[in-house]
Amino acid sequence: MSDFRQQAELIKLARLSRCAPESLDFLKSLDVATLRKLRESVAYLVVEDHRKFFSRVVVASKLLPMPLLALIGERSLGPLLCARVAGEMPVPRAIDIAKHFNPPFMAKTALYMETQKICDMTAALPIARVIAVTHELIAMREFIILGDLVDCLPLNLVSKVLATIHNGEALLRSAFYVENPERLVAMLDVLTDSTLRSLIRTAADEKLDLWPHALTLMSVVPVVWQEKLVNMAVDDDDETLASMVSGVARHDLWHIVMPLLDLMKESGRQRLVNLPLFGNDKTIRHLLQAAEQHSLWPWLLPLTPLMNADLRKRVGVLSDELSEKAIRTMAALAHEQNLWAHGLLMAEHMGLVRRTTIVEILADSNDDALSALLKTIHDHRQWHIALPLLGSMSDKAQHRFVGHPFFHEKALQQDIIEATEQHDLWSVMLPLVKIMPDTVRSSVTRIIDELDDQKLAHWINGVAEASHWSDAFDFMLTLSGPKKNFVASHICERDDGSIQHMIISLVNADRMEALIDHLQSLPTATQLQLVQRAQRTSPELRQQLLVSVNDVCLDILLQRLAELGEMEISLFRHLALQLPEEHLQRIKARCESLTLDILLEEA
Amino acid sequence: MAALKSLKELPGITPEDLASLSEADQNKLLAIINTACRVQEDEYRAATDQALSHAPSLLRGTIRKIIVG
Repeated sequence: MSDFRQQAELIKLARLSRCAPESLDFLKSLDVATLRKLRESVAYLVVEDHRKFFSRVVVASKLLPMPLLALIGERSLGPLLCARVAGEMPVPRAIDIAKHFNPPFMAKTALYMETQKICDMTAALPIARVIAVTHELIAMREFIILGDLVDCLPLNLVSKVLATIHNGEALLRSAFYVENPERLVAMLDVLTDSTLRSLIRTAADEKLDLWPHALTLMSVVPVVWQEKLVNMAVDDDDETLASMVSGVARHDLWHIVMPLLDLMKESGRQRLVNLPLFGNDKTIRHLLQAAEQHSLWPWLLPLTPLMNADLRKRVGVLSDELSEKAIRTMAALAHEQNLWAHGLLMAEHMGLVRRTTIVEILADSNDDALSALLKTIHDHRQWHIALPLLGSMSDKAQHRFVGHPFFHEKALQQDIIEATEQHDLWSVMLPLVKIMPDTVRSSVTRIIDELDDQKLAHWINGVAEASHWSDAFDFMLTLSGPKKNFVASHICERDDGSIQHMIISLVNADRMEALIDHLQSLPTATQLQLVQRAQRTSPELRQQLLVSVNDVCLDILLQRLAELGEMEISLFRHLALQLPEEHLQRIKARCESLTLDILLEEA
Repeated sequence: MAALKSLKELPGITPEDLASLSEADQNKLLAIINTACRVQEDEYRAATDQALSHAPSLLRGTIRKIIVG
């Protein structure tokens, strides 16, 4: 990943420039290749002006034997001058002298040498000496040069040296500075599984904070290695996984780690995403912000089905904090890559504003996307999420959806009704049924008609709001006789407030006559039950009812009223006598016509 | 060593390479490089003095003249 390569280059340049890496942050606009050129240029510059001086020392050294030269080098010149002088010597002569240096001095000298020169020299040294110098460099924590050596030494030499290193920290830190990914692979090839596991454990050590280094390694090696390393991390204990997530969050490395999730086994992804660490809203916010910033939705969305219900809910809720643009990007991606099965899981818990955006995007789907979306919803049995979204679409969009040929399929209709029943979505579903094409509506009605009494009772018990009563009533009229009767009887069992609410809703919706018509079609016992319950509504409402119905309906009402007890008839009489004269006369006339004496007694 | 007056004097670097840096950042980079060169020069001087301290004091001046010039 270029971020890491850039970071490694900046550290190398800072080291050469004797400044803190942070002070070079302003160079982050430069690409890795330019930073490397800059570093090589500075390296050349700090030597160039003194090259003549070093050459003179080289000339003078020709007069002395090698062991003495090595002794003078170690005792008098010191590592810096020795490195520079060696840089001006022919390689064979430099090697001959170096063979006489002790490993600690050689390690210190190596720090000042040009990379190519040190590689040429190291390759010619006995392996035991190379290993000793390497371990000195590890002890000195000089990982930049170790990375450089991995890059340029012959592979067989690198392999032999690496086989002696069992220090996970040294391996990870050195690997961070290796520029050539092929060399990293060669490095990994020689490490045993146990050493690889120790790399992961080292990365998981919170004190060392080396996940950036481990993820650098994972992100640049070929897929086969990525898969092996990622699954090694996932197969480790929860502590390791938790450390990885907190390291990723701390260094904002989601953009590196998320694409690697594709390589994890599903069980691993599931373990990862359900770690207690994700119980923290801060971590979820980090993840969502990274998803927004780095377009990580292709990896984040597929995690939603693996999340536990609580986490999924909080991810949905916290996604409300994202920008409108982010939601649109996510939704567009869900469309493009047919990821709605996952996207809807997230949308389920979003707030109204974000859901409105999702609804808008769904409504604007082209025909192909709409077909794919409906198929996805059906395949994943997500009608309980989709129906509320559909319910808040514009009339035009709703017509388009329910008019889709997909809705003609019986299996889909059954799924929709099942979801409606299970998730109590009748208030959303019934208005949709109303606008379905005739054939679809009849088919859906038949399915509802076949629901057992318990399910129908559940539906009617759930009707509360005014508009729902009106829709419920209209729908009830489409049911078969026995079901209509069942629903009406069940309405009678609802409390006084609900009955009053229903009647008000139907009066306001100008549906009273339809109600009385319906009353007419019911068995007498049910009619009586309904009229009896209606007596418990407010006097104003009952008066309104009496003046608004036509003669046929009024007759039915009066007939059923006459069958009620003396107390209820007396209450009705009292109410009727308070009506304006013209309405009272009408009721009296109807009573006379029906030979009912419910008013005449006191009139 | 004389300090660099401009980044154009950097070997192997073209103006296009650093075009994405603002003028202020280019000046900052120039200062960092000049400081690095100065520090390196001080280190060479200190290392040379240290090396010559091992030579007999009577010969130090001559040796310095031969190798440093």
